[in-house]
Amino acid sequence: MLVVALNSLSDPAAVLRETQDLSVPSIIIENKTDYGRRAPAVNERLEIRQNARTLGHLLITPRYDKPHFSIVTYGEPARLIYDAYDEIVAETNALFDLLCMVKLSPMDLSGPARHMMKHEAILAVEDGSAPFGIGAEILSQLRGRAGSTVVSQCVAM
Amino acid sequence: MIDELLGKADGVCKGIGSSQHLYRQGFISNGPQGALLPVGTGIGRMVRETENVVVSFVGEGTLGEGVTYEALNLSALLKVPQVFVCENNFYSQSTAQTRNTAGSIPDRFRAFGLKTFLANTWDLPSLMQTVGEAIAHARGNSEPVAIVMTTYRLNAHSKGDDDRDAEEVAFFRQNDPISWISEGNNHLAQRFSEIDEEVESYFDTALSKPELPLDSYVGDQMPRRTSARYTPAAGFEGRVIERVNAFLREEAERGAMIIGEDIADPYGGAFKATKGNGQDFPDAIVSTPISEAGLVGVAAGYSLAGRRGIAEIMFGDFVTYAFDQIVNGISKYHHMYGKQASCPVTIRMPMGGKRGYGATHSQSLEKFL
Ligand SMILES: Cc1ncc(C[n+]2csc(CCOP(=O)(O)OP(=O)(O)O)c2C)c(N)n1
Ligand SMILES: [Mg+2]
Repeated sequence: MLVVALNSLSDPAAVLRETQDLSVPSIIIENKTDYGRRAPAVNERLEIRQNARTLGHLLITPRYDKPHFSIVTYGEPARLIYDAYDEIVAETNALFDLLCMVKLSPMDLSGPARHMMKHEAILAVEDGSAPFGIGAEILSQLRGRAGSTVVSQCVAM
Repeated sequence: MIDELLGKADGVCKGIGSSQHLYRQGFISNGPQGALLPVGTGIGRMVRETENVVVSFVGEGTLGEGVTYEALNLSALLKVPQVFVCENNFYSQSTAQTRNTAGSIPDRFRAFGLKTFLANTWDLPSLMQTVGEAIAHARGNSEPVAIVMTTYRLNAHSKGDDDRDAEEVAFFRQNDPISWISEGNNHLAQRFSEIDEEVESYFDTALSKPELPLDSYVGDQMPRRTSARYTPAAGFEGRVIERVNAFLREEAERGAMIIGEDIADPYGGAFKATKGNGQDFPDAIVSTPISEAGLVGVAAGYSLAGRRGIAEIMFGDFVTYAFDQIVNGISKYHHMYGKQASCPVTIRMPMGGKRGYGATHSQSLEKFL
């Protein structure tokens, strides 16, 4: 099955249309709190881009400075982290790239990997529980590519 | 069929399906008992527009499966020309009907308002007539019917697993139409043994045939296009649910069937994903009883029949009820039917918490999908 998670950082209808046009059996993961949300307020310091692959991930990256680490997530947490970006930076004193996966299965991390390997640390964040989760899958695939040099942790909210 | 049993590339499903998973010219079978009944309802929803009917076979032992009743209910409510043939051979694998099936078998179908016909496989003229009448009723009234057909299995359930009383089996073998038709009729007896020989000798031919090469065997329909390019993300106006709603409206307009619980207007779904759409496309928006396995099966059947089915699970937590449809059906049809079938069904579901619904309405179960 193709498993796709909507988010509220980019147009959900575009993701649905792209999924539907593939004509394959698919599961769409939506989110009850995201349902009521509008597109995010513009944060001048951040840029939201989308990878050009099929159902490609979103990359939210600081416009003017180099990030120190990456957070990879999907669905509603992407929005929560985006909205709290400045607060997190103030607390940690570190800039980060935020990657929001859209296609959860088949998981395809070649693009995100290229990007995240530039940083020393990766945090996978997801809703629910961390063991055996999507974040664990992401980190295990990234480790397969990077060896064990990158510090990574998986958290659930 | 023999090629298929032996796993050969010339088999009806290229040797991938084997005996339990067949798909050819309108015939479809699958391993989990009862799972294809709602799929048949979905196919039937499509054939309603033609003169055709769907015939769904089910054993009496499978009257123990919940999805059987979801399908009977949905088929009756959606007015689908589906003929449920319940073959009562007195056994479910090893267990006698008396220990498996409480109450009356015909009453189980009548409870859903189905006209229920009785037949058996020993009185052949009456069997033919009853089946004819049942099909005519389903076709003429666009509604499901049932035929409870008493019969007997002469061989073991699977390979050699038979603990039934040998005298009982011998009695039914002697009284089987094939036995008594050929008795005293030399011409037929001769013909039957020729057929046996032909089948036997075909096994030698089939054994020497090739299997599917490995690189044709693997592979699926999933997208894997990669790119290192980035473009600005698409923004949107309005709320997320309004964007979902607009997409579903477009799909309804394009002929998709959107099926789920409480999705019809004026309610328009628990989260309003279809609100307003049912008014404009009443045929496309199908509100169902609480039957997650059934409604996902119906959407899958509609998609297998060449249309687009879009199912809504009201709370993602309840996708657990539809797991069999997803795990043993939808995700496998394309591959296990030798890539001859396509089931582009879409199943939408909200996951996650924070709205105060508590433990069973707030989970993130996507890790199991
Ligand atoms: C959901 C499910 N549970 C168990 C099985 C294993 N199984 C295969 S056939 C069978 C018995 C079926 O009995 P019945 O419905 O009476 O059909 P019959 O084989 O007698 O025609 C069982 C338990 C299965 N295939 N699917
Ligand atoms: Mg039986």
